[in-house]
Amino acid sequence: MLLVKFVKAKLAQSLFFSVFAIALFFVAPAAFADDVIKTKFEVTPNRCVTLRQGQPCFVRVNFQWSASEALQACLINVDGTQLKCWQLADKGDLVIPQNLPNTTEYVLVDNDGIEIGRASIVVSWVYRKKRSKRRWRLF
Amino acid sequence: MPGGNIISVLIRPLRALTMLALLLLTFLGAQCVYAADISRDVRAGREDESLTNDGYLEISTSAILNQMPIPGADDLIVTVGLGGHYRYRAFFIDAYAESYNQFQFGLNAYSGDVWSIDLLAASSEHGVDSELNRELKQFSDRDAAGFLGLRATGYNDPYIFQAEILNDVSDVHGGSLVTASIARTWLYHNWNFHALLGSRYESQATLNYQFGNDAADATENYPAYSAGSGTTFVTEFGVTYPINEHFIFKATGRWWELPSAVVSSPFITNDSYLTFTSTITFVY
Repeated sequence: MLLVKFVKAKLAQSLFFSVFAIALFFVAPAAFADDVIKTKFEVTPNRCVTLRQGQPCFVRVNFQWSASEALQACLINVDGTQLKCWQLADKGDLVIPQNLPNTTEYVLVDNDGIEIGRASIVVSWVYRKKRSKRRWRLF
Repeated sequence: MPGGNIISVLIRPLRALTMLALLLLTFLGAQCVYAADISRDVRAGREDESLTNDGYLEISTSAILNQMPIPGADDLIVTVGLGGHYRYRAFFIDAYAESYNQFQFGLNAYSGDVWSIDLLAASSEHGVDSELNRELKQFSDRDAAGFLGLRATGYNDPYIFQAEILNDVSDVHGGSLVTASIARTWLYHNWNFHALLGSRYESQATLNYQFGNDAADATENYPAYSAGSGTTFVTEFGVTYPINEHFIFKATGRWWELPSAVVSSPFITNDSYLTFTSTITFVY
């Protein structure tokens, strides 16, 4: 009898943990998902054209971002230059002129410095030019 | 003046072609650094020397507002042009409507960080653009001459210097010409501005072929005339803007001052004139 009770108790315990595990499997992601802030980060235009390769490309860049909840965010160049920060906002936009030496990336980070968005502007040209220093030659 | 007939240009200067072909056979194994006509360089920049086989085609449509001092000439002309630039090692070939030499090819002989010297063969149809006046055409229609000579180009950013010494080797008129030009570029917000000052000395044979009228062809309206040697000056301002990787917009204003040696030619009414050209070019 004692053995039967022990087996039933074990089965009940296993069943409980199984149901708990299954519930956790389905419920937990939803719970965690609520904690993950969804962000959207866009840069327009995403192309800039120069006449000759090597020329800086001038463009008025429109940065736009939005998040599923308010946060602190900073827009930075990939070289670390801070362009603008927003305090507890769920969206933001910025239009600034940029002289791009070549293809350039921009990063949106939260107040912990963690990247929450990345976008780039591709610089291209019409005429190729790669004039490099070299010694003279005759024929 | 722009507008040379490419076919006749290719056929006429056979002697120039032969001489240049011999030079090419001799020097084709050379490495490359290139210069181009200053009117092209001032927009496209000095060529990429790291590539030994490169080029592009250009299809353009232009609206030309001109005050050419030619009797009965239209003020507005719309044209469609085909041009391009190609090189293989030290050999280059160039067709460019905005150049004084509309079609040219040659060989880069020397190149340093600043100076580049080319052996140049060029075909030019200059003088009075007889297409602008049908009546005038029978008097002033001229063959394109085939020139051979040297071209030196200096690059000291943002300045470009260029000088040419060319002689007609196609027996069209047997004359010669010497040019000297300086250009400067400015960049503002992807708009590439430039200014160019140029002078072109032409021998008596060259100018007389363009602006002279033989006694045998003389009429009351177009009397006999013989031109001397002289120098043409041109002042140019222009801007080039890249619309995208394949389309560019160009606008150019030119003030021409013809030599006093041709001012009494029956084919012209003034010794100076202005042209303004706006062009959309497809570059491939």
